[in-house]
Order: sequence, then structure tokens, then C-alpha cells
Amino acid sequence: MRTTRGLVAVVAAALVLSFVPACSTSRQATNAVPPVAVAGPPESLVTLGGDETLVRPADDDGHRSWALQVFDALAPSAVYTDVATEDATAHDGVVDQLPRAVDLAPTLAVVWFGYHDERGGVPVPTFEEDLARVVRGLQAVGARVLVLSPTGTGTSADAAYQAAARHAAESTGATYVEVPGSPPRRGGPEPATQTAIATAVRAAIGR
Amino acid sequence: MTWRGAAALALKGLRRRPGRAVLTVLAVALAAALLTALLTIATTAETRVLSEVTQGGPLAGIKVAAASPDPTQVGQDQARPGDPRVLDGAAVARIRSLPGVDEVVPVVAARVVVVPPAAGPGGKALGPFSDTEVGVDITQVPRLPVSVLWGRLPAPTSLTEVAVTEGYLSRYGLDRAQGGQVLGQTLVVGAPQQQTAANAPPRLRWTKATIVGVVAQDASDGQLLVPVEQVQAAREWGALGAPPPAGDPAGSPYNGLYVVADTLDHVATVRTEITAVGYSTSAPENLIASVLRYLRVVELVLTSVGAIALVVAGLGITNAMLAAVRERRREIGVLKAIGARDGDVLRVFLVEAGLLGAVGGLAGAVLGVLVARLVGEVVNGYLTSQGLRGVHPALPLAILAVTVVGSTLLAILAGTVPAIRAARLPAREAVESS
Repeated sequence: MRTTRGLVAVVAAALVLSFVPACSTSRQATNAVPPVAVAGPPESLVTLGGDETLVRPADDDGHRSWALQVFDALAPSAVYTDVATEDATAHDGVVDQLPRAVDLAPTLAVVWFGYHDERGGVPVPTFEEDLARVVRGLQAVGARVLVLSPTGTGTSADAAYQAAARHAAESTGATYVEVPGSPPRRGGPEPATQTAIATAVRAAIGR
Repeated sequence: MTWRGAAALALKGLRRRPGRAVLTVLAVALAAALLTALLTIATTAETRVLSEVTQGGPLAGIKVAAASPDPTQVGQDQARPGDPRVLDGAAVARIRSLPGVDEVVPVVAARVVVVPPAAGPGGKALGPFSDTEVGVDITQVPRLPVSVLWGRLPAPTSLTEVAVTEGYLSRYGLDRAQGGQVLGQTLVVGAPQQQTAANAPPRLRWTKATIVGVVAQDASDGQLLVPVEQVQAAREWGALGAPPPAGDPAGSPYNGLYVVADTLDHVATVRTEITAVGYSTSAPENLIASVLRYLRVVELVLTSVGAIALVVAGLGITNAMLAAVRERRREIGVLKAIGARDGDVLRVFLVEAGLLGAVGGLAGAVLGVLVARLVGEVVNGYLTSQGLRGVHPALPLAILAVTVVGSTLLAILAGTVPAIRAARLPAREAVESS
């Protein structure tokens, strides 16, 4: 009798054990990454300008352009489109880049013109007016606009365009941001300058 | 005598010699455990091997490429596709309507620029590279040749999550076992929009995607697996510009299909039909058929081993029952003297044998599952150390049922001769023996 009861008890215990799922020690099946939080409508960043803005994803050493470094600071759901073109002046910004940017419904726009206006001999008042038109066009679709201009590089001509950029920003209510300047080249500013520019822009937008 | 009465007498008889009953049950249990464990392991191994062959996809899966069939490759498992051919909605609808087709899962792709994080595993920095985003309906992944190696799949419709393949790991010099090191990385992904001006670089629309998993996938070429919505967004952006260059995935509405036939036997027929529609197909049907043949042989051998063990246990029951009949001759005589018929005596001993078989079979089935799980854990330890996916022994209810029922029937069969001998004992002779 006792032997039978003991046998029944052993079988019952084994039944319970066999129906308890075996603990999986496989680290590969874990949901290690939590869901990516997406809060609110996505931010949309747009950059307009010339060579100093034109985004190359990174140089051969993997250094990221300033624009992508700014994008890194935005929310995971943010979208960034660069509408800058080579050799662009502020007038190109009005005619070509502004319509493209407006179609993207940006929430944040970064504008940087001046180098090719100066090289092309565009009169300073014309440059300022074109720049202001670009800013107003972006503001009309609800974007917060930052106007970038390099810190003084020495010449009086540079100073004139920089002052015009500042005035265009102030007259339109855009945010004026001084950034480290260096002559644009096809690959964009040097890596250290890219980071410094990104730091200045991120400080201006509070990221 | 009722069955209940027979059962009561049988139990009484077993209690008279508890030691012998326990040993007999133990012999049946061990044999049943062996049979259960072997069949469970064989079934799990079969599932795992076939899953590896199909890379996690269904056995009856067929990969359809956006390309014409190469006449020299028709019927081959890994047929090389011919010239590219647009795969549009009309073609998908036509393929979906073919007889023998159970399901069609579209695959879309887009070429993108990928900028990895500034610092990756081991502090290594990667430069940007071009690759292909493969977009699928994430809810349909069980129907695709996609298996998760690390982490998880992107959430359905997510625009901010991505799974990468081993190809991405190799960029960092990592192998499959180290895949967890890339989880949580954020990639910046640029979708190109071709410009009409000559030599003008494409305009890129950048988004971010967090790596949530590492997968092995054969749905389409590409190191990034994303929900189809991400690829559609990239394609919509690209469509605003100049037409894509030749060979670009965006040149076809769909870049491939994964067709699931209703049965494994119909795979060849469905492939022929899809070829007739004009698209190249590939499916590991020949490989699966060969693997199944070998697995059946293994299963047969293992089942035979378990069955032999059960037969040996059955002989033990016969021996034990014969001894019981010899010892209980007087009891048999008394039963017959008070009116029990031969059939009643037969019933008592058959029930007794059946009880031994049933209890032994049940205990053995449970023990067999435990052994199979233990073996599974040991195997998993080895597989994961090699960077491979583990196995997950399922609770084989059919095998358990066959084991218990089979043990019971075998025991009854083994107890038949002793039971007949007991039933035929003359009453007077049985009573007079002592």
C-alpha cells in the first residue's frame, strides 16, 4: 500500500515538473532592446545653403558632417532632408531650394548662405533681401529658422555679409548663430570644425 | 464479475507482492522513457534540421525573384534567375490565384546610404556604406525564411527600428555569437532621390533606425530588415526625383515574393506554374526531400530501439504474471468454487497486466520528457556556444499518448498467456494445491 502510494506521489511530482516550461537560457531569444519611444509628430529638419551645408554622409574616416551631428540630437522619429546645392547663393535658395523645403513641411530649418554670394559679387543688400525671403518662406510653413554665419574671417567684405546675415535674421525673428568659419571645400569643413558647428547649432536649439 | 470487481481483485493481487509490482512497473517505465525520449529528440531534431534548411521559413516555401526564369536552371533548388523583370501587382495577383498556392508574401527593397554610429563595438568606427533595405510585413515573418539570432524583430509598421544580418556584423569583424554587441545602435539611413542634372549627387532623406535584432534572412539580398512601411517611405521619396538607375530595386514595385504552397508535395507543381507566368523561382525541395528520407530512417531506427526495449519489458510482465498465477492457484480455485467463470479469471489477470503497463507507460512517458528536456539543455549549451540557434523540445502529446497506450496494450498482450493459463485451471485442482 505504502509502496503504491509512494509510486503515485513520484509520478505526480514528475508530471508537474515535466509540464513546467524548461527555463530557457538562450540569450539569443531575449527581447533585449525595448521599443523605440516615438512621442508626438515627427520633427522634420531641413538645411539650405551651399557647399558648407551640403551633406556628405561622412568623410573616409567616418567623421560626420555638422548637419548629421545636429540630426543625431533630434528625436528618434525625426526626418532630415538636405536641399542644399553646390555653389548656391541666397538667390538660388529663393528660387530652387525654398520651394523644395516648403514641400517638406519642416519644423526646423537651418539656413547658411554667403560664401558664394561674396565670391560671385552679389551686392550685400540683395544678399540680405534674398536671405530674408528664404527665412520668411520657411517661417510661413511653421518652421523655426536658424541663420548661420561664420565668425569673422578677417576681411571687410566678410564682415559685411556677416552683418547682412545677422540683420536678415533679426529682422525676421529667426535665430542667428555664429559658427566657426573656414573656406568651404568640396568635402565640407574640417572634422573639428564640423563638430564645433554642430555644437553651436545644438546649443541654439537647446539640444 | 464486473470490470470494477476485476480491477479490485487485480489491485489486491498487486499489493500482495509490492516489490515485484514495482520492479515490473519500473522495467516498463524505463522502456517507455527510452521510447519517449528517443522519439521526442528525433522529432525535435527533425524540426530543427528542416528549419535550418529553410532558414526558419515554412517547408513548402518558394522564393520568387523579380526576374525571368533561366531555362537552364528550371527545377534547381537554388535556380539562378535570368534577366530582371518587373514584378507588379498584376503579377502578384496572378500568382496568388494559382492552384496550390496557400499564401503570397511580397518583399520590397530600396537602396539606401547607411551611416553607422560614430563608435561601434570595440570602439571601431565605420564609414558610410550603401546597402539594401529589405521591407516585409513583419506580421508575416513566420511565413518567411527569417530567423532571429539576437534580440527581436522590428515592431510592425515601425519607422524607427531595424534588424540587421550577419553581413552587417562582419563589417565590424563580429561573428554570429557576438551579435548582441550591435543591439541598441542607432543607424542614420539616407534614402536617395536622383537628380536630373548630370553628375549631381542624389538628394538624401535621412531617418534614424535603432538596431533591435540580428537575423538570418533569405527573403531578399540586403543587410537591413525593416517593416515594409520604411521601404515604402524611401521609395516615395525617390519617386519624386529622376528614374532610378538600372538594377536599382526601386525599378520594380515588388522585388520578390515568398510563396507558400498548401503542401510540400505541391511545391514542384506551383514552381512550374510560376515559371509559366514568367518568373524565376527557387526552393530547397530536393534538399528537403533528401533530408526527410534520412530523418525517417533515423526515426525508424530509434523507434525500433525503443520498441525492442518495450518488448523486453513485456517479457518481464509475462514472467511476473506467470509467477503470480503459480502463487495464486488456491485463490483462483476459491474464485471458481464460488461461481467465477473462466472469463472472469481471465479478466482479472488481464486487468492486472494492463495496470502494470499503464502505470509504467505513464511514468515512463513523463520520465522520457524530462530526459529529452535535459538532453535539449545540454545540446543548447553546445549550440549557443557555437553561435547557433538552440533547440526547443516541444511537449509531444501524440508521442506521450502512443507511449502510454502502447505500453498498456503490450502489457495486456504479454499477460495474455498467463491469464489464459489461470483461466483454464480446474477449480478442484486449484483449491487442492497449496
